[in-house]
Amino acid sequence: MDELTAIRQLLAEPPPPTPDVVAGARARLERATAGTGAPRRHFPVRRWQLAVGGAVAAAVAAGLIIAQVAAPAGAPPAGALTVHELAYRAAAAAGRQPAVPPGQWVFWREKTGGPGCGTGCGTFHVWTTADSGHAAWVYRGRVVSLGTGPFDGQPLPSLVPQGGWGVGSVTGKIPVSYAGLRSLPRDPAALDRYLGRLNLPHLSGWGPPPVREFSIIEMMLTSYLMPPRLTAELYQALGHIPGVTVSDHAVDVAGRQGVGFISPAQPGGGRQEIILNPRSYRLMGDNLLWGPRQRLLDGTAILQRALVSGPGVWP
Amino acid sequence: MTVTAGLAGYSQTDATVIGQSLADPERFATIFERYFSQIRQYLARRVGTKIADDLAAEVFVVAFAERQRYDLARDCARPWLYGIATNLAGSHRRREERYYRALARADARQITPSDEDVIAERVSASAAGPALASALAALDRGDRDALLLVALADLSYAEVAESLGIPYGTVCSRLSRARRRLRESLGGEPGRGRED
Repeated sequence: MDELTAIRQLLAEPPPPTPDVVAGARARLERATAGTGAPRRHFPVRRWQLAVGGAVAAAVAAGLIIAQVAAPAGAPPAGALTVHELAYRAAAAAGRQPAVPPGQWVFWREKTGGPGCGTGCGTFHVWTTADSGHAAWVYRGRVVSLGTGPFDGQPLPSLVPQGGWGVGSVTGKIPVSYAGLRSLPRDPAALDRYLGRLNLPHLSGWGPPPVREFSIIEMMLTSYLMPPRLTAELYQALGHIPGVTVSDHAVDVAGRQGVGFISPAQPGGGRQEIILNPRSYRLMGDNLLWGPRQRLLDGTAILQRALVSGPGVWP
Repeated sequence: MTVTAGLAGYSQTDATVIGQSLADPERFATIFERYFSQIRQYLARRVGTKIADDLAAEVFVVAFAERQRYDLARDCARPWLYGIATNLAGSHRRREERYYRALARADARQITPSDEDVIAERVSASAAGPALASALAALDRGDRDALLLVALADLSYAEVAESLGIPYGTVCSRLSRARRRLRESLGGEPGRGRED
C-alpha cells in the first residue's frame, strides 16, 4: 500500500453533511449574494443624441446632448456555440468578403430601437466612406454632408419635429483610426492586450480591460468597413476576451434572430451584444442589454449595406 | 473549450456560471450545488466535521466575494474552490495538527470488513496509522497542503498548482518531499511509491 492510500484510509471519508448543514451553508451564501447586488451606476449610451434644425445644421458641433441611463446588472443567456467557435466562424465569413478602399462609399439602411434611444428611434439611410471619414444623406432630393468622422457607428440623420433635419452622432471617440488598423497586432491575444491598454478619455475608469477591449472592437466593426483580414482578426480577438459569452438567441431591434457575442458586464451591469446572422455570420447589428433578464436598452439593426459609387447613390 | 472530468454532465461550465454571476449574483448558487458536498468532505477529513461544516460554508462566501478575480478561461472551478478551502483550513492549522496527533495516539480504528482485500488494506492502514498521523503533523504546511489535495481531493499535479497558485515544479518538489517523509515514517524504502 502506498502512502496516498494510507492517508485516504487514515483520514477516512466522514458521513456526508446533514441536510441542516447544507441548508445552513446555502442560506449563508444567499445572504452574501443578496447583500452584494450588482453595482448600479450611470454610463453613457453608445450614441449621443444631437438634434438640430436643418437651417442651423452648421451649428451641429455646438451642443451635444448626452443621454445617460441607469443600467443594473443582468445575466447573459447561454449559447450553443462556444465563443471561440463563433469567433472562428465570424472570422472565416469576414475573410471571404471583398476588399474595399478607404474612400469607397457605402450605403447603410439601419434601424434603431429600444427604450434607451429616445426620440432618435427609427429607420434611416446614410452614406459613409469605408473609413468613416465622410458621411452624407439625402434631404429633399439633395445630398447633404453630415460632416467628417470617424463616427461611432453610422450618424443618424432624421427629421425633427421643428422641421428640417437632425443628426445623432459622436465623432472622435474611436481610439484606433482607420489608417492605424494595419499596425495593430495580428495575434488575437496580443491584439486584446493592446486594445485593453489604450487610454481612452471617454472610457477611462470604465470597466476592466475586457470591457474596453470589447467596446473598441464593437466600435470598429460597426463604424469601419475594413479590409477582410483585419475584420477577421478583430472577430478572432473577440474570442479571446475573458468573460465574453455567446447568445444563440439574440434578436436585433428589427426582430431578426441572430447569434451574438455578449460583452463582460460593464461597471453599471450593462452588456453590449454584437449580433451576427446565424447562417452567414456577417454583422447584423448590436444591442445594449441590461437588467437580470438582459432586456434591450437600445440597439441598431443593419437592414442593408451596399457598396455604391458615391453619396446619394441608391443601391 | 476543454471540459474537464469535474464538469461532466453539466450543460454550462463553471466559468460560464461564474461569469454570469458577476451580473446575476444568484447564479453563484449553481457553484454551491455542484461542489459544496465534496469541499465539505475534504475539509472534514482535514479538520473534523464540526469545523468543516462552518469552513465549507465560508469557502463559498469567500469564493462569491472573489469571483471577479476568477480566471474565466478555466472551465472547472474545482481547483479554485479547493485552494480557498485549503487556505481557510490553514487558519486551523494547529487544530489540524492536534487532530493528527490524536489519531497517532488512537489504539485502534473501527473496521467494518466487506471483502478480504479491503480488510488487508485497512489493517495495514490501522497498523501504520499512528506513525503516519505523526508524520502528517510534522510536515511543513505547504507540503501537507499539496499532498492532501492529491490524496483527498484527487487533484492532478497541475490542478494543485492552480489551486495553490504555485508553479508546477514547486508542486512536484513538495509532493516528492512529503511522500518521501511519509514513506520513511511507514518504514518503506525512500525510493518506493507511485509518482503521478
